[in-house]
Amino acid sequence: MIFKLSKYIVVTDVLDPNSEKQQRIIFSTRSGISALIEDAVYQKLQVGDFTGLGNNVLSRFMDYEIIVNNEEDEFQEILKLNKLGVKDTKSVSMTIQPTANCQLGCFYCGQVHSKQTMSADVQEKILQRLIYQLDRQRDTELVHTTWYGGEPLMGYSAIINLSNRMQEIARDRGLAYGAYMITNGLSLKKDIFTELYLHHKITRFQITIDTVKEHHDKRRITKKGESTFDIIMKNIVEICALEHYQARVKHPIFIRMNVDESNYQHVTEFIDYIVSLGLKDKVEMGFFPISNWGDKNAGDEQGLTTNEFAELEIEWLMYMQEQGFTMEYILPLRNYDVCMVVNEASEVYDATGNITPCYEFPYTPKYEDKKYIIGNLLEDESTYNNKTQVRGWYDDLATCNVSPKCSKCNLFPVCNGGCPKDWYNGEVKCPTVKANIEDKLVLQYLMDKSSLKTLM
Amino acid sequence: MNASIIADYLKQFEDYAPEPPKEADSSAASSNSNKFDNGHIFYALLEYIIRELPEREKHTYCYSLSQKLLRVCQSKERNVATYFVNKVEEQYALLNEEQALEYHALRSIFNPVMAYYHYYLQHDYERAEGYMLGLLENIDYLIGHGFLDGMYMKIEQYLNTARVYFNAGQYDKSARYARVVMQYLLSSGKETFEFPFSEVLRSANQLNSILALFFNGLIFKALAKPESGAFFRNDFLLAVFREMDISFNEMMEPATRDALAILLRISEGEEEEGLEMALDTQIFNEKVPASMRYFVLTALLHHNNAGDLLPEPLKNNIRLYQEKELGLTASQINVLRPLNAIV
Ligand code: SF4
Repeated sequence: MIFKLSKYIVVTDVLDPNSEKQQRIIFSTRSGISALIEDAVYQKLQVGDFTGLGNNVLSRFMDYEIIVNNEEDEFQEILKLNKLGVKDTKSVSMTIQPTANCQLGCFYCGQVHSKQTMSADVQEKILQRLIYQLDRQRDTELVHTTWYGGEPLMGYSAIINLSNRMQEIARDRGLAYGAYMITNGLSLKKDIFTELYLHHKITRFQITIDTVKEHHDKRRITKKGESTFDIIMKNIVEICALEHYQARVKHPIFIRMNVDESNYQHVTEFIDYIVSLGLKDKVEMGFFPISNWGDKNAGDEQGLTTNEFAELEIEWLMYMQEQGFTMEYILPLRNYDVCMVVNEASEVYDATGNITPCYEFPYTPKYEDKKYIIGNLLEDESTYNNKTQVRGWYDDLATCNVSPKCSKCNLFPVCNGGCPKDWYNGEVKCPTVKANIEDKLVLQYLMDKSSLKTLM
Repeated sequence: MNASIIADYLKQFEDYAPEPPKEADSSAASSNSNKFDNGHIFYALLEYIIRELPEREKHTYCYSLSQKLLRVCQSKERNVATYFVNKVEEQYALLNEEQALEYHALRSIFNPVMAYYHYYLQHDYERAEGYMLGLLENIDYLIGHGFLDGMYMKIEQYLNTARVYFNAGQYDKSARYARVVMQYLLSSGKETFEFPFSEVLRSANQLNSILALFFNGLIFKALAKPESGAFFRNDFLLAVFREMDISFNEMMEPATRDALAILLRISEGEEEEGLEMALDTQIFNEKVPASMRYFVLTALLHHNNAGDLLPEPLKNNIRLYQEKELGLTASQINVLRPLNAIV
C-alpha cells in the first residue's frame, strides 16, 4: 500500500522565521484537528517521505487523516462519510415559525410579512410530525427547536403551547429537550425572557444589532420607520442583570451584527459600547456579512467582498480578545452536514403549515416553487415531496452537478459547500473562512498556547 | 446479628464527605502508566509488528483504522461505523494465512473491534463470538512468538467473551470464561494460561487496577440482572468465584481478598458469618473494588432492616458515598437492586 499527504490540509507559514524551531500549524480539514509541525517534517510530507516520522507521529497523522491511502478518491470518500454521518444525527430538529408577522422592515430582509399566526390545527400537526420523526429516528437523544419568524414573539401563545407539549413528548420518551430563538429583541422583556429561559428551555437568544445606534436605527426600523436600538438595548441590559441570567448557560444572549460597507467602521465602537455596559462576560457576539436574501440583493449592492470581510473579521476577533471577551473556538469543525438541508430529521414549519428544508425559504416569494417545499402539514403525507432540490446536495456534488469548485477545495470537509441554496441559484459564494483560515489558525494557536488544546 | 450493631458500625459514614474532583491525571495517558489501559496494549502490538515485519505504513494504517472504528462504535455512530467496517473487511480479504505473523497480528488488531461492533451496535452476539474466539487463537500465536504483552489482550478477551455471553443470556458459558480468567489473575501460579501473570505484570498497582476492572465488570453486571440470580445469592457470581482453590497472588490487596470472602459467604447463605467478617475488617477503603463495597454495604443495610435505624443525615451520606465514592449514577442505583427499598 502506498500513502500520500492528504490534499485536505491547510498549512500556515513558518510561525516565527527567526526562532530556532521552524514550526508551522497544519490543519486537517478531514478530521478538524490542528497540530504544530516542524518545517523540515512538512517538507518531507509534501514529497511523500514518511520515513523520518516516529511510529507515534505516523500513527497520529493517519488518525488525523493527514496521511491517507494513496488509492482513495478523497472527495468521494468524504461525501460517502458525510451521507452516512448525517444519518447518525442524534436529534430531531425543528425550526418553527409561529407567525409570519414582524414589527420591523429591514431593507435586506427577503421575507414578505403578513398578519398570519399559526393556527391550532397547524400546531397539532407539528406535534404529530414530531412523533413521526421520533418513530423514524430510533437513535434520537434530543428534541431541539429553533423559534424563528417573522418575529417569533409575535406568536407567543403558539410558542408556549407547542413548547409545553413538545417537552412532554420528549419527557415521555426519556429524551432531552432544548431550544434556541432568533428574535429582533424588541418584545423580549425580562419577564418573557425568564419564562422562556427557565420554563421553555430556550438557552440561546440571537438578537441582531447592526452595530451602533446611528447605523442600527437606519436599517433595523419598524415598518412605520421608528427606531429600535434603545428599546432592544434596554431589554438586553435588564435581562443581563437578572439573578438567574446565567443559571443555565454562560451566554444566553448572542448578539449578531450584520455588516456591510456602510457600518463596518463601527464594529469596534459597538464592541466598546458593550464593554462599557459591563456585558463583556454576559453576551456572545458574532459578525456576519450582509448577503442577498430572496429577491433582495443587498449583498450585491452594498456587501463587502469575501476578502474584505475576512480581513476585518480577524481584526474584530483580535480586538474582542484584547477587550477580554471569552473567545470560543474559532476554527471550523468537521461536520457531516453542510447545514439543515441535507438532514431529513431537520425541518422548518411556517405559520401556514408549509414544511421546507431551509429556513430562508418561507415567506420568501423567490422560493414559492414546488421544488423548494416538502409539503403542507394540513395535507396528506402522500403529497409530500421528499426530494426537494437542496436535499439532494451531496448526490449532486458527487456527480459534480453543482459547484465543481467545491470538489477541488481543501476546505470542503469543514465547509461542505457553505450554502447549497446559493450554488443552486448560480451564486458562487464561499464562506469567509476560505479567505482567512490561516489567520484563524494562528489566532487560535495564540489563544490556546497556554493550554495547547488543539496542538500535538 | 442485631441491627443496632450494624447501625453503629455504619456510623463510620457520618463524616463522609466527597473529595473535590481531582485534576486530570496526565500520567494516565502515558504508556508507562501503571494503570491498566487496553489502548496501550494495541499500540504495543503495533510496535511489535513494526519491529518484526516490513510495511510499517500499512500496519500503522490498519491500526489507525481499528481505532477509528472503535471510536465511532463508542459514540454509537452506527452508519459511519459501516464505512470503517467495510474498510476493515477490505483488509481482512487481503490477509494470507501463510504469512502467519502478519495474519495473526492484524487479526488481533481488527477482531476485537469487529466483535465490539457486532456486539455493541448490532447486538449480533453470534458474529461477535466468532471474532472473539478467532482472536484467542491469534493471540496465542503472538504470545508463542514473543509478544508476551498479548497476555493482557488475552485476559481482556476472556472478560469480553464473558460479557457477550452474559448479555446473550448464556450465564453458564459466561461464568466459565469469567472463572478461568479470574482464577488466573487471582492466583500466583500458572493455573490456566501459559505462564503466571506476574511475568508480564508491571507492578502491584497494575494488578489491583486490573482486578478492580474485572471484579466491577462482573459483579455490577450480575447484580443488575435479576435473571442471573438473586441479589444476595447470585448463581452467576457463585459459579465464577466459589471454591477456586488457589493460592492468592501476594501482590493482591488483602482487603480485596477479605471482601471477596465476605461476598462469597453471604452469597452461600451464611449471611451472619459474612457480616461478622465485614465488621471485623476494613473493606470500606478505596483499594477495594467499588462493586464489592457496594455489595457488602447493601447487605449490611438490608440485614434485619438495619438501614431503617439510621438517622436521615447518615442515610444521605451513604447515598452520597454510593454516588461519589462508588461512582454509581442515579440510573445505575435505580437498576441495582434492592437499594431503593433501603436508602
Ligand atoms: S463553498 Fe467554497 S470554501 Fe466551501 S467547499 Fe465550496 S469552494 Fe470550498
